[in-house]
Amino acid sequence: MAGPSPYLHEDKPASFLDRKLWVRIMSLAANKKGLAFFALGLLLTSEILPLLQPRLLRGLIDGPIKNRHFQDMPPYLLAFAALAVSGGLLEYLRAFASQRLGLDIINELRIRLFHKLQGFHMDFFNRTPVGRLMTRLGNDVDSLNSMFTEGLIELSGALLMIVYAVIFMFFLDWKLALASLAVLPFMILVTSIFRENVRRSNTKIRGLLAEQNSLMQESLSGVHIVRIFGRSADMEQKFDKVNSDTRDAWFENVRYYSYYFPFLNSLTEFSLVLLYFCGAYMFYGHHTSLGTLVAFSWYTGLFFRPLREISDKVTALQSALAAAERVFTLYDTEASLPEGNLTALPSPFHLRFDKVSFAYPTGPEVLREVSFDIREGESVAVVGATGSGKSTLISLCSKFYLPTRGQVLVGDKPIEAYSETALRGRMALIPQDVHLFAESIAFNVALSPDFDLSRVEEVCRHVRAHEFISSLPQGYLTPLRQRGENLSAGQRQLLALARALYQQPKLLLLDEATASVDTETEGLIQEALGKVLKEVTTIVVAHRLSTIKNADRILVMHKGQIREEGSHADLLAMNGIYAKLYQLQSFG
Amino acid sequence: MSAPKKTFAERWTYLRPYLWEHRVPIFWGWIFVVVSTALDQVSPWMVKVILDSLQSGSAMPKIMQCLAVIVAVTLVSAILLFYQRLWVIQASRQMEYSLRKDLFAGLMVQPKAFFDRQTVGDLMSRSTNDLDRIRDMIGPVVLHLARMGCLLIFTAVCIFLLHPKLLLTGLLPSLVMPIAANIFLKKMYAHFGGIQKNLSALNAYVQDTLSGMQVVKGFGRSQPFEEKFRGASEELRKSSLRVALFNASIWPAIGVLGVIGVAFSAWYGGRMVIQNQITLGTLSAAILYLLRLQFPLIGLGWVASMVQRANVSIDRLIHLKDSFLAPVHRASPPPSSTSTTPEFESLSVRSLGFSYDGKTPVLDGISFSLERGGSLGIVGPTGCGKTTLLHLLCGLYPPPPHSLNLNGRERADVSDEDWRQHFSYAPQDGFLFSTTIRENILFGGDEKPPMTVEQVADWAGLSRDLPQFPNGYESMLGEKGINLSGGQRQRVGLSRALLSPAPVLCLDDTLSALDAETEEVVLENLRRLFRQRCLIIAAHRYSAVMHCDRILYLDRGRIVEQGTHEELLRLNGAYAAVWEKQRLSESLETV
Repeated sequence: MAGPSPYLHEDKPASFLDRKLWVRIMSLAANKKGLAFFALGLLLTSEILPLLQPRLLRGLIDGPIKNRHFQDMPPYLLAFAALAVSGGLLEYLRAFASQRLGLDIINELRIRLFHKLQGFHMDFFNRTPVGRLMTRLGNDVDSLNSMFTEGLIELSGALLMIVYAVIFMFFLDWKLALASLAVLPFMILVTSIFRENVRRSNTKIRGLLAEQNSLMQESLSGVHIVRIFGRSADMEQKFDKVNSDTRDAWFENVRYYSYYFPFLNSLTEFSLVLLYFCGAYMFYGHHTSLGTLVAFSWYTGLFFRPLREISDKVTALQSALAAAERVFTLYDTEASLPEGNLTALPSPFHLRFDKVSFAYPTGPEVLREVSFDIREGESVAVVGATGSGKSTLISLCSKFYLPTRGQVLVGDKPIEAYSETALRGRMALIPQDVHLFAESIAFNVALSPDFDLSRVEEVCRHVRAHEFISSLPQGYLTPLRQRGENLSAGQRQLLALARALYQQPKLLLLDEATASVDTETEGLIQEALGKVLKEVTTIVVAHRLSTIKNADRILVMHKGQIREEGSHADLLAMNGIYAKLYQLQSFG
Repeated sequence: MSAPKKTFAERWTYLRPYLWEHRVPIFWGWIFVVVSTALDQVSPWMVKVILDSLQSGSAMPKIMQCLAVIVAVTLVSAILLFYQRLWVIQASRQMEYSLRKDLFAGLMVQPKAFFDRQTVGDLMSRSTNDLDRIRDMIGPVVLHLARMGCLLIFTAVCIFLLHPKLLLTGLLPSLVMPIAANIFLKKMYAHFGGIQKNLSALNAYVQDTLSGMQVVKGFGRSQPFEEKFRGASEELRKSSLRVALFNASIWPAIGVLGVIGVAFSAWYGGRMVIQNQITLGTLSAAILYLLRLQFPLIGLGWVASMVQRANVSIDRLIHLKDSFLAPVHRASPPPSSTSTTPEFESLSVRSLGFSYDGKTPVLDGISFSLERGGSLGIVGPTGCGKTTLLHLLCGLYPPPPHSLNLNGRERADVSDEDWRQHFSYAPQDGFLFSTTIRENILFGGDEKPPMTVEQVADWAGLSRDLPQFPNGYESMLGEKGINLSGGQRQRVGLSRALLSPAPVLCLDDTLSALDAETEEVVLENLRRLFRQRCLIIAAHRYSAVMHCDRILYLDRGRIVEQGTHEELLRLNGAYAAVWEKQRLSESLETV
């Protein structure tokens, strides 16, 4: 199933002005309102405290120091200490609350995303690289966290500090405030020009970096082609071009910053100059005090410092927004099949395909008007060449896909009417490639942490897997490595059979593994399969002649259709497709 | 891949040539750092003078002078700041460029054997993440460090000049800051390890579950897996929260220390003012100096962590460089139209053996010879050594001595470049680059009429698909040619090989995705084109090799059967058995 995933289209750039996106992000905090308001409240109060300090200093200078009353100093100093400690405490609480808020939100989001993924149909998983889903659940969700903590809270903190500083300055002396803030319009103008340039430059750099990475990736993975055609020098030249373009783009970016930061610095100093220029006149006119002037010197620092931070935070926020966009795209993906409400499977069990045709999205038809049925206790082998549609047929039985035309009936109800979980809870599917989880053997048989060890052992004995399991150091509790790497191919197949039997399925769907195993295990597998086919209602995509012979009935698939049906002997006598496959000794 | 820790000297040796190359801007940048930081100390001092003048009665001219000094100093300092930033940061970007360029050039001349031991992702992360960190250290981090150092010294000098006693009261708490921050950060990094561990556990779990989705869904067992995921996510949240606790306490703690320093100075200095030991202006200036020191000091923690990370990155790059093998001869651009096309007389292979790891033989005792105009087919089960044999012939791996002989000359006596020019190669998967189809074909060599892009594409059977490409041969391909079908990729790869003037063409199962009819047409073209040259065809489908002068059947690296198609059929061995199967499956196709 090649081709790019049709499910996740995520190259939309995130915009700051995307109101819907913001509402969406905010709504994540909806059931954490208490914590959110607590953090917000702390934010509003904690930013005020640093601004009280210059006022205290002013009081100290204009009071005890000016009047030379040494004994009046302690209250001021106590207040200073109190301010410092309570300010620190509030800030601590605020930072903690906001981080906690962010972590709680993303934890919940992650769990919800994972739950959502569980409901997606198999086509989604077949076409979407696992790595990409891991990035969504990992890095991207984490970026959202930094959006809440560093981004939103810190950014509003910096903005609040600026607003508070202005208010305090005007409150203290509006004339001096006007004087020190006279440079502000100028600053806003230059900042907006700066931001626009940086934004443009960043876009350009992103494009060049992508180009550079893809060129590098290609040159390295295709290094033998480069070598055979003697193109190393060309590749180096090409790489040098994009590498130096990237460098030049950075040069431009660095230039903007090199203009901007000295500019900010100078404005801070100029506002000090304006402050003292007006301040001196006002002081001589007895309109202001020395303490006020010193306090104002402090305020200008508090006002201008957060400005630097803002431009950094905005950049960080931008990439977090893009991550948020990607996460929401995944969250909004509709890739589930309709869920029915029937939970009880018919007894006796009966499954029927009625003129079923099927095509994968955007693909050609792989099944055409397939009809057959299977009753309780029967076993049916499906054979055919590679690509004849056998595996698809199995997938339709367990409602991984719905037919494009025709009906799959369980009892007399269409398969859509059944709840997926209930249906599959009574079926067992063994795919060709046995997947074992990095858990204990018992977990892998029971597919649940609450396994019944005696039953696990019973089914393992039944399929003759008990011998090798008990020879393992921790027996049934031996943890398996990822994908069961510490087991042989044959042992994995035996475990898959045990897993299916543990489920006590009404219908067993088995895509026989083609992986070669040693002769001894091969014997065990054939024996176990033979037993299972006699005992359980089974549809098996068969590759081994022994399996085919053990089945009650054989369906021969060819190019998406059932072309022949019958017993081994009947089919051989027909001298058709089955006979040819038999001659080839190749059942796909 | 974790790299062994290097000594400072080794790191220095690695970076020195790059730093030396940019010594001029870096030197001047640093001089400017020193001067501008010194100039920054002027304005608080002027505030002192102004405040003192204000108290001493009418002194407007003097105040104006002071303000003028601030303006002048600010302007000069702004210019210096501009250039120091521009020079140092641009130098770091230039160094990043050179480092990356050298890394890429170094990789391009590595033999194929080197790439067999590395993953592309790993090499990519060297070139991106690791180089980024080194650049950040050389640029902003060192710049910040230099500014910090100067600032500390100059501030201390200024406060000392104001009054020696103020230095003690004011600076002491500030000095605790970087030390405290460092201790805090170290603790935090320990907790960071916890986050990393839980995060990779979560990632592994997601990967494990999602790759086994067919089982999870097939048994209707989402619930236990969701519960386990919830647990892992919860663990991650908890460990992140522990770091958050630390994180949340650092900055407020530093802030508190700073304010206490100011308060302490105000109290102690205030007493000195009252006792007429210093003026109010002096005290205010001291406080201004302290306030200016506060935020840069906080940055020290950041500097420490960045240096640490950059060191790890340098070590990884040195380790990579150490693992480089002897470089192959750097290929010069393909021969221009004036140079002669390489000639081919004969190729002989004598008991050629090969092993990737020096233990398991992949090829063993392979011998055959080819004359001008000859053709050779190579068949055998997957993993029998077909591709390795072709790669050896094309010169991707060094063969054992005396095993390869071209036109009567031993491999060892021919330069890499000379050898290479005799072979061209078309891989099974095309291996295309993300550029236009035309550029991909031109990768093989220059157009020399009648060998044009259109012509070779026609011979390779690509031209019939032309209407499917939106912009004809100018259509852009995605990474690895993802927007083409497998058969189209193969034919672009074949066109590329055909444009090369090399006399020996190696096909590595290049026609496998073509239908029988197209395959026959393309093979017919090839046979005609290479009548005076030589064709080597490795294939799974025997229809591709049945017309070859000689066919080798390989199994586990050895020649098991050989001869013409007819001879091999008569032999009735492995070749004949597979041929019969293939014929049967073909007839099944037409049922």
